[in-house]
Amino acid sequence: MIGFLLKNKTLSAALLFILFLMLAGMFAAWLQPYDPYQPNYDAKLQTPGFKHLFGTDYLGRDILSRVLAGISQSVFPAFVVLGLVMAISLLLGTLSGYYGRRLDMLLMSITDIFVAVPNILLTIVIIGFLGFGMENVYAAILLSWWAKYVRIIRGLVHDVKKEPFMLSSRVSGSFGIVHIVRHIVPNLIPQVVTIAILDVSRVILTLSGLSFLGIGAQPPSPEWGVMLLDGKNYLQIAPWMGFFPGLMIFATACAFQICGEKLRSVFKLK
Amino acid sequence: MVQYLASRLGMLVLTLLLLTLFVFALMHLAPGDPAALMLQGLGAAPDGNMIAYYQHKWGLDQSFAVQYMTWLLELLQGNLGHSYITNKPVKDEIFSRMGPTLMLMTSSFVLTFLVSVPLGVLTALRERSLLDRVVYGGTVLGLSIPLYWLAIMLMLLFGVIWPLFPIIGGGSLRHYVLPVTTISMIQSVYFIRMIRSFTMESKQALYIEAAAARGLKRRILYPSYLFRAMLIPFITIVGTSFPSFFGSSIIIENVFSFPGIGKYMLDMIYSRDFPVIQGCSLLLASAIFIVHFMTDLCYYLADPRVRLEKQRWEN
Repeated sequence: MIGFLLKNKTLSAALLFILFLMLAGMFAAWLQPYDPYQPNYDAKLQTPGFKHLFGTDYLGRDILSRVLAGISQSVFPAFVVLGLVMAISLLLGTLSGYYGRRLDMLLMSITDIFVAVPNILLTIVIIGFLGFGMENVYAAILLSWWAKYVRIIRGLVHDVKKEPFMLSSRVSGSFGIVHIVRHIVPNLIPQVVTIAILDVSRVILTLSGLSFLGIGAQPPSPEWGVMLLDGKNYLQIAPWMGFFPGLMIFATACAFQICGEKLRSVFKLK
Repeated sequence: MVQYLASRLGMLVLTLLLLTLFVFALMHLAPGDPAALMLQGLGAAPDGNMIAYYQHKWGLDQSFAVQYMTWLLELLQGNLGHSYITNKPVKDEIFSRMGPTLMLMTSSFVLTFLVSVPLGVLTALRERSLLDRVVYGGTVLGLSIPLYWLAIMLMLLFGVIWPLFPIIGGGSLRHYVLPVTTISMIQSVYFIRMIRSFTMESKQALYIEAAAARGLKRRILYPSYLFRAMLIPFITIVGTSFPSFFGSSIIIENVFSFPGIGKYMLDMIYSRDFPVIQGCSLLLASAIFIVHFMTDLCYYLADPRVRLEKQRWEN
């Protein structure tokens, strides 16, 4: 394992970055040099320097502190959302793939509709009707992402079902839920984990993107998308306000992307 | 052909009907009474009489089924209702903003196409070459760069530091340069990846090997053996790319304050103008479904072997 990591410099850099990010997110309260919410009108729009490493915003809040506080709002929710999506689609996908027939037809027709509508449109429509706020954003992302995963997992179940060991376990008398849990799900895990890690970056981008559009997290929150939106309005006089949060989104997404791609090539997926 | 067309059309109508029901139900789930919200928005204290008047005017005091049926009948006549805010027909509001968005999407599509087709095919044909590795690195970065941040950075570079292009608004041709570049940069990443992967798949076919073994020249082999076989996956990615182009153009229009549908829709979400949100989403979703329908027809034309039901259920 260690040797493998040493050989893959990009991968280990990405993993290290993720590790530091997680730790920084968990211990953000101790690491922040300033209060991320407290305006300080004496230090408005200061350029990055020794006192404020990433500069300050239009209310004099330290950008570095806000970026650190934002980890728990921009990165951690992505795991929760993806976890929920995975749980739902693992359940529906295995049922649909295993039992087939009517249930399969029904589920696939429903997913057809959800797959056809672009995620962002569906998300915006749902938020448009249900109102702003992170809860609605999570609900909207769940609704617009589950279908794709159900289809992928269903396809994977079909592949696993063709394996000889499935027949032998069937002959040994295993069937139904036990069959699914003991024999199908363990064989799906590598693929599903790979897809999930590849999609972490997309979920992070979507979450921050919705906040950036002003329909996700709302202003005092140090969510990176919100900070980027503030930064856009001060682009001409304080470009660092938008640069650093955006760079963080980029770096985080990139790290997860690198890990996902590596996993994919290890598991030889398409 | 006729039978196929009929079954596809039936499916299309059914999906559209379900879509209308979904959008309508969502509108009912929306918290807050639109009449009260509008009166509050106008600054008036919401008093019972006014609310009741508007509820009656908009038919909000009837049952769900009745409301849905009246709304659907209106819809069939091409009437999308009136905006709560400007009181103009939603249809006119949308159509006046359709042009710039379509222009934006078409031009970014063309640019994406021009960049990604040669790169995708070349990297697949010259696997593990320098070009391939460079492009691969570029796509990893491209897949993880936030579209909105890229747009802001381009604004900063070419609008503020080196003011070549206007960074806000629309109208002249120069307003299109930065939005189109941003969208194409992000979209070509997906395109290059997909084109590369299906070119790799097609070039492993045995008949290609056989043709190469027969000593066919590349300029005959590639167009008539390889590219012909790639037509089907190519139609797929072109046909299914419309939603993602639209998704990016929503974001880009808002970054650049570009006067198109995406910006309008989001503005109306802020002001909770339900008929407009409804109208926009219905129109876009039907556009997407119709594009999918046409893509299916193109499959049929491009490859008579396509067995549709199989295609549908297997992926």
